[in-house]
Amino acid sequence: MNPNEKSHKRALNIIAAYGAEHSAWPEEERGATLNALQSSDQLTEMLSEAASLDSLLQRSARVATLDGAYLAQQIAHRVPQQLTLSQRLSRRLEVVAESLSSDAWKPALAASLTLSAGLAVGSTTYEPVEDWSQAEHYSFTVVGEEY
Amino acid sequence: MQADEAKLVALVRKGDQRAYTDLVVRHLPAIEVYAKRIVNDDTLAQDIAQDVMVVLWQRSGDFNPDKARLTTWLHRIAHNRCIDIMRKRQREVNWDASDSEYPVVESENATDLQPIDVALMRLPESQRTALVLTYYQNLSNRDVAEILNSSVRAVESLLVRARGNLKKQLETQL
Repeated sequence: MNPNEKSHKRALNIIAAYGAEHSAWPEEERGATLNALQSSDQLTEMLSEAASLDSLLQRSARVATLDGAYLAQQIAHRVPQQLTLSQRLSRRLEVVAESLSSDAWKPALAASLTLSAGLAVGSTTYEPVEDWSQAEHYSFTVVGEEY
Repeated sequence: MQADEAKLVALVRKGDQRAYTDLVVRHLPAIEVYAKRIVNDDTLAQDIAQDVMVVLWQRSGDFNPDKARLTTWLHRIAHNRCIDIMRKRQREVNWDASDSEYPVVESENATDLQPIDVALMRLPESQRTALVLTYYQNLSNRDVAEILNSSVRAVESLLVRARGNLKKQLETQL
């Protein structure tokens, strides 16, 4: 089969499959199909028949009736999203990253630093008194008896 | 458009309702009409279209913009739902193969249908799907091959047979 016969056969097949509308033909083969059409009466006749079927296909009466915005609202409010473990983790990390990028963390950090400093100072300077010599005397004074 | 939709899907993954609404408004009409042409039952087709939009909300993480366009992904989900329903229905409908080559379940609004819609419903499911996806849904042959889990050549072969069968049917009807 020579190249002309090959492109003629391919053009026949394209029209038989996709119809007469040039825009429906595979983009990369559109030019070659148009070229083949110019030199073939058989292809021109076939194109005309395909155009008749296309016009019948256009008469189909199916229309969409659902309200997209309303449906989206209903689904988003009622249906929980199913996320994988990695998606859940990345969503949590994004929340943490977002909170760090805002100023909301500053008061919390100031409070935790103050508390940490207080605990550090207290634990290093406090020395408990170990002198218990007067303890018995004090306790009996409190209960009102003395030996 | 494709990059814009990939961004919107990424937002949906994070639970962004506005991005989700935007995508549903864009894609729902095409999916609903596709399902109507395939299952020939308006109520069932609307249920299928809603199911597809639920999948978009619940499992947007499964969509990979590097592998497919969003419309192809949604049509593939719709196609699988339609096939499941039609096979289930086919088991329920006790049709006699000698009376009719293919089972045609009349829709509730059959009187509103054009001869072309009736002829389409009489096509074998694979031919009808290939023709509807290519002609009415304006999907490329590669997209259709991906949805049907087939090759471009196989899709073309289905299209040639579908158009040939339609022509024969319409010649006898008109």
